[in-house]
Amino acid sequence: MSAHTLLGAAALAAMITAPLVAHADAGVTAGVAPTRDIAAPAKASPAWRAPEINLAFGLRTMVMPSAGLDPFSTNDSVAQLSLAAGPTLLRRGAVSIAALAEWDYGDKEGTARTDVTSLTMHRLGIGLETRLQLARRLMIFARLSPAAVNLRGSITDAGIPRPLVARTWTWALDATAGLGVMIANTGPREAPTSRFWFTGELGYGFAGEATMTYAPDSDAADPRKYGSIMLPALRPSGALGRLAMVVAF
Amino acid sequence: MNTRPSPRRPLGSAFLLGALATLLPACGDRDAVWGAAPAPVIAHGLDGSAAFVDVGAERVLLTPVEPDLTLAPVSVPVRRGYATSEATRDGSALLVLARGDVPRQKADDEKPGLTMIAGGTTPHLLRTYDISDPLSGLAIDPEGHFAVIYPSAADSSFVANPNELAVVDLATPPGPGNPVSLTLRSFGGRPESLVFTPTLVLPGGARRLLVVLTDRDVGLIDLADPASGDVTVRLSTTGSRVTPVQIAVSDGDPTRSDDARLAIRLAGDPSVILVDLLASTASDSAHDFKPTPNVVLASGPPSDVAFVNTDGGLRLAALVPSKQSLSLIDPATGVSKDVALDAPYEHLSLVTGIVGGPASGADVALLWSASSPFISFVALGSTAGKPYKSVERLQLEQPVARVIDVPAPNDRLKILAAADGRAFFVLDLIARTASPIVSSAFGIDFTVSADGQRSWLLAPGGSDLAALSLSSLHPQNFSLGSPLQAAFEVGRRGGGRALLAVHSDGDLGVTVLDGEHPSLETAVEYQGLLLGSLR
Repeated sequence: MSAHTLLGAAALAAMITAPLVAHADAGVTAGVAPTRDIAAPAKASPAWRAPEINLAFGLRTMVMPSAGLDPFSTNDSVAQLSLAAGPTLLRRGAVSIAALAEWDYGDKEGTARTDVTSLTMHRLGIGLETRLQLARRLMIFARLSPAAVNLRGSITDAGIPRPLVARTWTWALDATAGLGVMIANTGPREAPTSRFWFTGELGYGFAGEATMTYAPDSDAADPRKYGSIMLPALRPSGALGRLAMVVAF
Repeated sequence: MNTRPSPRRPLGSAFLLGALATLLPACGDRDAVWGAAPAPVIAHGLDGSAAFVDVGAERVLLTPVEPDLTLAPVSVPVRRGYATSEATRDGSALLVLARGDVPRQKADDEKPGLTMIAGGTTPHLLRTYDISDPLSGLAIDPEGHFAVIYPSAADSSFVANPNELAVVDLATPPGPGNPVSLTLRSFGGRPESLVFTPTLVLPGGARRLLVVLTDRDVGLIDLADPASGDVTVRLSTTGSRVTPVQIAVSDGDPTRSDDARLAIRLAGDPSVILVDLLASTASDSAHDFKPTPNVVLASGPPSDVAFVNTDGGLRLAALVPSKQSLSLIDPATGVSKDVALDAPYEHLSLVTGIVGGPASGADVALLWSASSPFISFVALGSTAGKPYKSVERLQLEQPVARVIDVPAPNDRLKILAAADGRAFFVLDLIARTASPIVSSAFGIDFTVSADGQRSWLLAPGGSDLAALSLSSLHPQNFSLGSPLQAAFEVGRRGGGRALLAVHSDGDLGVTVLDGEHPSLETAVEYQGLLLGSLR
């Protein structure tokens, strides 16, 4: 097991324990009435109430110092569209925990030794986010989200009839922390029906190394057997940041 | 919707935005190799892989073949400033000469160097020899023990010594005494070509010589002690320039140390210089042998010379196309006898070991010509006053431009390539037959497998490939998908043979066929190899 993997596992363990600590703290302060600036916790109700739903739309950027990115980019940055959705699972005082299903999508286009290349990345993750609301319009949060990353590389050369393609999966784990600013809400101030947050976060994305093995895309009309070539392995890992608009309702 | 701005703007937001902004631009440049177009590769066939010199990536890409015909590419870095590369004759190693960084301005700039790469089925870097000067000429010993680096016409330093050589002992690692740099004694000439002799029994013991042909004289370097410098054989002391163009070597009687000799053929001159390598009597000489030149005369300017055995003893055979004759010159007396031929033969090679000579030990020579469609077998000896036993002639459809040897067990065969590159002949030295093989394309290139079982034929730029069985002379044709540049048959991991057909389009393509049972059904095709195995 590599040091990189161990580091990722350690971060995972740390983040899993974080919500439990927050939960205990919330229990201790449960009897304290919220101040005006802190959102009122949901009132206990004997009737079932739908959980708060969070929808996020934003930009995820990562500095990916992997040699595997070199065929596709002249630098190490990767930008992705970032979408997330999920319920707030628990709320105790100023602390809440939310689960998020995440989809990040990005692509890079470049040249490798004058061949046209492209790389498409899909990241499918499930995140657990712990929030601490410091004020009515301000919160900080930490998120841990394990994910599966799908990579599809393509190389097009004028001298060969079909592009060379690599498809592979690897694991990933984002560990981030950030803050959010509520920029608007609807409904009563004490119990808004929806809130709009602008969030920013920083962290590190751990990931496994993906072997990038290229061969011509399959063609039923071509009976030839093709061998594959190996480009540098790609590890979609590195420092990351995300800017997002979040609506919670 | 309540859109009233917050009365308190968190300071952290500005921090976050700033931090995120730093993630967007580039944080590291990629390796420069990805940004440059790959230069045309220089391809070599080795014993267990094909080797492609990828100059732009400063590496050699080697492609050993697995039992299932897939490739297992290996990338070996070489120094910057590629100059030339050459494989050893047996394909066991590839040598890559690089000039390094010119001019060297920083401490970490690379020096000139000679990289030696093992060429088997597990190719790897063997060693790199530092060279003192950025030179571009490389000559490799046919036995693979030595390499010589010398200035070539491509070298254009501000100041250069054209007679400076570096002798590399490839069997030993780099060190203070390896390579050895030396400057040839010069009388105005500069090296034009280099010849490595076989082991000769000389007065000081058995050793090999490096013969350096300049445009006016010949230098002899003892490869057992190259630091001792060269012995120059001056070919003219009268001021008229004669140019050496060929060397023939004879060790003479292996039990004697005083009868080794060289023959030096001169351009456009009927004179041949015989150089006896005798014991040196000078006490201050750095060498224990002394070259003693003598001039002998052929019947005209010879086109090829070789030492041959006749039943009258050792002779220097000199082919004289202008006289359609073969001069047999006694090196001891200089007396010449001519064998009249019926065609202007230009080249000869001895085939005694294949066809078997007479009991007298006389040689059998194969004669061929690039200007006449005849070939002849000459059994050297003497019968009834003639200096030969027999001359047997075969007429082909075309003159022969090139003769290719076939390894055992089919070493009784030679492949004679016609000048048009379209037809060739498989010559059976024992049966004395010449079977024509004809192609529909011109400029055919062909290689013979190391196991002597087959020959591979291709027309560079075309997509057709053929395997010719040298046992049955049955051709098997294949049409590959893209243009071909070269073909190399190599040993496979785990045994067996494989043919690597190199395609010139794209970033290097290779089609791998089973060498012994070639079929497109089992072939594996690779594209874009130059993109792979990079760091």
